[in-house]
Amino acid sequence: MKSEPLRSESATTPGSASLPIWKDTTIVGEFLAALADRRTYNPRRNGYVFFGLLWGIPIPVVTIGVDLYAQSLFPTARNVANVLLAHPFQIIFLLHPLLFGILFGALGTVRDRKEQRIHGLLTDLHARLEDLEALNAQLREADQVKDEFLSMISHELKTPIVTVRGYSEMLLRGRAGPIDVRQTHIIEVMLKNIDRQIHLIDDLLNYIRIGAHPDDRERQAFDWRDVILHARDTFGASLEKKGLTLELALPKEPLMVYAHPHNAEIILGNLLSNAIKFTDRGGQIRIESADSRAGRIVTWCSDTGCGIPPEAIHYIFERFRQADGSTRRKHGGTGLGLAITKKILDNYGCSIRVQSRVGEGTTFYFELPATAGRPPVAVREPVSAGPGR
Amino acid sequence: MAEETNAILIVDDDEDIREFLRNLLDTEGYRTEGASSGREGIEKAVQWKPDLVLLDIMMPQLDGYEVCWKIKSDRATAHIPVVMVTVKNDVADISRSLTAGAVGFVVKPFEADSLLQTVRMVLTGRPFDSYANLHPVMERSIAKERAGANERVAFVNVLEPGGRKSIFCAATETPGNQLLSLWQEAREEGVVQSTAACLTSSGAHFDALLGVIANRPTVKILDCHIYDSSVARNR
Repeated sequence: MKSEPLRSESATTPGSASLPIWKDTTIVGEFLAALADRRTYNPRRNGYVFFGLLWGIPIPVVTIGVDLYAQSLFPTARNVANVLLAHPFQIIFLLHPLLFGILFGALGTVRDRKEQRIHGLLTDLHARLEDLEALNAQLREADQVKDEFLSMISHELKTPIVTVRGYSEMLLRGRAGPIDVRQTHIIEVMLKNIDRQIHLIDDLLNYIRIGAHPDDRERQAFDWRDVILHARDTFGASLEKKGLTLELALPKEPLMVYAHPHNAEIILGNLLSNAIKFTDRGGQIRIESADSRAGRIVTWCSDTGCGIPPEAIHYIFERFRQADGSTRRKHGGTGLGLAITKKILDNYGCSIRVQSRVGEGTTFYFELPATAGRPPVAVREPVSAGPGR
Repeated sequence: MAEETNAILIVDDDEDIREFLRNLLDTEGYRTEGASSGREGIEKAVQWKPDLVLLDIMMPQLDGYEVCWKIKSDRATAHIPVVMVTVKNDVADISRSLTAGAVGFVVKPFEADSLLQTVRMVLTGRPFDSYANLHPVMERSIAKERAGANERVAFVNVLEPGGRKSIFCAATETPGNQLLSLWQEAREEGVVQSTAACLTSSGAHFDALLGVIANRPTVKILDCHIYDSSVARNR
């Protein structure tokens, strides 16, 4: 082995007496002894490997220095080679900053690449986000334009009516001088039709408004029974006026619907007002509702009214359609109610169906989205707690 | 009859409506003056110092909100109450009008009585005379008002289609959820004709009331006005 020349003679050289305390006792002692007299130095016992591990680069350099010194005061290249070969770990210790450099450099490059890719992705994402925001702004603007347009139309359509209605009422109340019975009747008819016109304009504008997709963020969980009970209160006077009875069949548990309370009320209001409109005095209206246990709240609204002729049943959900022209004259209404109802339900992905027999009555069946998977928390306060519950 | 000679300025870009309003108010004994644009309205308000301004919202150039704001921010005219008379009938429009400083809101086409009542109440500052016998809850607010508490009360007059009867709902300084129950209370106590809806116009309570109305598409707003007991006392 090449390490042979490194070995010093023996530990019992005279010079070792100069440091008696350290002699042969510890690695440090050995080391110090070697510094004192190179002949007592045994490189095999050099424990600097561990110090090297602990302290990094300076220790190996110093210990290599000591090894070299132990051989000669002026080491040759051969001495250096011998020392390094005798202690191959030294090479690693000497080179470890370089190795670390290479290793971390490589890792850094990998990380850099990754960061670059992530950065690229982020930039992409940001650009897309900006695009989306721009699009969103455009949509919002379009929405605002639509709102302004509707508002303008509403203004233009209603403004002429304001004076006509105002003056008619003024005449009727005798504010513009006395009028006789015949004139009173004429003006009353005028007023009635003016009000119908106003109603039509409101309905039409509502229809257009609902046509746009409603904001999903405004959907709420609420008890459908409350809407029904409220409608019963609201329509109480009209029911009484026509001598109709309204029967409710509702479960004891809440029927939690996830929709716009606004729209739910429109749906029920339209169906109920139709039922009242087309049912003769003394008739019966029945509303039954239940949880289908399949994400739907199902409702039947039936009446004992005049019914819908089979040839008309296909287009009752179309705009401005009533069974025939004369019914409109007889019953009033704009013919938009069911179209609006269907549109709302379409937006929720729910269906509405109708069954009818002329002279016997009509039943509307429709679904509403249930509060699927949501905790049954009533967002709205119960608005009505009639004795029917 | 002093209050019958109150001067009313009518700002509306539609000549016929202006004419009609003047006609209607003249027969009631008010002095009236018309202005055909927002700018003219502001000028006349400054010159003529009317007791009340009836203001249209949708007008070219200067719209009603701006006119109202200008009248309210000018020291010379700030004391003049403004009532919006408009075809706009959204809760948001009411909110915006009141923010601009209006104390009343009448939806066109209106019933003559609805307008006259609002005008009368704003001018006299005594809405409770008209609402007193409507609902027991009102009694409470009347008692409060008499006790001298400063409160702002909003009266919102709405129409429900079912019975074609108007419903007012009453509540003073009630949080939104109680408001609902009061609405219901009004119905259950068999007050068929109408109960009053009123509550502090400031902040959340009023917003809650408007929220309730906004959630009821079948309910149509007829008119709305604000009563401020401190202003009324200073009259």
